[in-house]
Amino acid sequence: MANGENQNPNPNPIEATPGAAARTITLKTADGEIFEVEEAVAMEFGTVKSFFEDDAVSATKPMPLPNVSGSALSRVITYCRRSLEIRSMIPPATSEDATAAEAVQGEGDLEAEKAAKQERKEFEAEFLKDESNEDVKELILAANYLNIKELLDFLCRSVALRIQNKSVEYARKFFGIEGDYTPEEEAQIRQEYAWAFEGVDED
Amino acid sequence: MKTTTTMRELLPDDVVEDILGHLPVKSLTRFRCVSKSCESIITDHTFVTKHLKLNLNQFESLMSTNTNSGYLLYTTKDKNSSPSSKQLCTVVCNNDRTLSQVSRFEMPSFFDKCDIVGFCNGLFCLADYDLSHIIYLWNPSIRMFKKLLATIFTDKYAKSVIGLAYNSQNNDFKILRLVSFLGGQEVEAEIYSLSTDSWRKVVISMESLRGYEPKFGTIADTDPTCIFLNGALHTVAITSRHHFILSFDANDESFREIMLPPNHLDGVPVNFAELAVFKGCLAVFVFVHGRRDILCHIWVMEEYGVAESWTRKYLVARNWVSGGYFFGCTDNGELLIKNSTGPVSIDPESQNQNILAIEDADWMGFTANSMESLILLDGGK
Repeated sequence: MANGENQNPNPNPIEATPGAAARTITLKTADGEIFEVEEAVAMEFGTVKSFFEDDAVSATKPMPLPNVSGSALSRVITYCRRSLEIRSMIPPATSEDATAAEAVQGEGDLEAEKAAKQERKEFEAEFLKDESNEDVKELILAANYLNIKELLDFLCRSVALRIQNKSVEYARKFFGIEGDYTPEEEAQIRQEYAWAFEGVDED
Repeated sequence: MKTTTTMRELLPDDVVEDILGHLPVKSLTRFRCVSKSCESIITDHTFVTKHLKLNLNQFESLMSTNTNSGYLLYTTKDKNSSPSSKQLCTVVCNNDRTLSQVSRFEMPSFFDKCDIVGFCNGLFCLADYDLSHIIYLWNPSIRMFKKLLATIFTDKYAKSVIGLAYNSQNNDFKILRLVSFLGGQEVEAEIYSLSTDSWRKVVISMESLRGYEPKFGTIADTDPTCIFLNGALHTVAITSRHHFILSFDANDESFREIMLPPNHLDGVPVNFAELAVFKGCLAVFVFVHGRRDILCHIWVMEEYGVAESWTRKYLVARNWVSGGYFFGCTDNGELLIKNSTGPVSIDPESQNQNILAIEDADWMGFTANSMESLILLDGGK
């Protein structure tokens, strides 16, 4: 059964009553957890999308995700689901061809876009609030493996915010990088760019 | 189980680069110390360009949120620090008209003999006022500058006009230098490109601008201000029979002629006329001696490049004395002036003078975006 023909005709991919007319795709994580995900959400994952486009594979067979844990996938699904919801708040014409559409964009569209931006801002602020650095890195690896550009971009921005005021040692630990400057070389850098080392958070 | 602890800790190189791309320049400068590979990522030209573009895009997407009315830049001598030196200060213009400090950068002492002739996307251009062939590019956010040497002219009365432009297609910065001579011979023009770190001379003839020879003579003089708008630099060019606005497109390096407002100088005892940006439009400010006051005629080109769209707006400025200096406009269309009261902004509609709550300034500028970048990191000092 080819995917394309059975596209859900409803423009809003999230059904009010789960499992009603929405097709689902089954995913199996590295730790053996099974997830049934709405097709629209699963298609946000570049890896899943190409898997089903390349192969006329039955959607009911679980797709293995050997590099993703159950907890990470759960968070990823939550993000993509919410992201789709927010994107559906904006009328379709404006998302793609921005320059032409902007010229005819009405008041209502601008309001909707503003509201969507605000929703996204609030949602993103909450999403990683209680996640540790290790959890965030796991999410990044999952988003990278699953090829979800929007999520990956969001996670990178969030990490940048987390580490921007931290020390060199903190950054080394976070990225798992060994410092390879000699003590003299490092002292020279610290002296030459002393201004960049001021006001840094305590480790 | 395929996940191992090493996989859980290490992020792939391209992801690390993406994260670094979102960091402010102070963090990036500090993180050069993290490792040699980090240093080479951060100082790589492609990364520098990517970081600049990211900052520009971020600014653009913030534009609609109206959290402030722009940024006022100014230079001042800090009397409290010793040895006293000039500082470049940035304050944000809050929507309630208060000013809040954003940054303060020490200027290298040799900038004392320089004028700021342009700034664009976080990069400043300064010219030595004695030695007109010495030009500096300065990125205060990373405390780096680059000294450029333009053509030296033996005529000691040679006057240099310089403009700094940003080429958005190649993420390159360009400088246009126009040198005019007391004897009235043809202006010498040269263009500098940061990406190639080289100058090239150009000849700007009326024939090349018009496609035919209008017999106005050569461009013999230009006005001292050179403003950057809509991707091009603009200055007033003067031939023996014709004044016009010369524009220089930063992307394709082409020159164009734009008509000045018709008869804008007729019958007025002109003090001086200057180009500036007024609410996003090209504008000519003509300062005229009235009987008691100094009047300012503001001509605005409502539709860029369309000569018929020149419209005159008008203000009478009461509290001026000679020695008042005009530094361009804010995004709200207020004139930035330094007069006997000090640094002020004047609203041409209400004609109110608003005293700026900053210490004394010897130069002021206004920008919609307070940008920082790594430009010059891979080539400056």
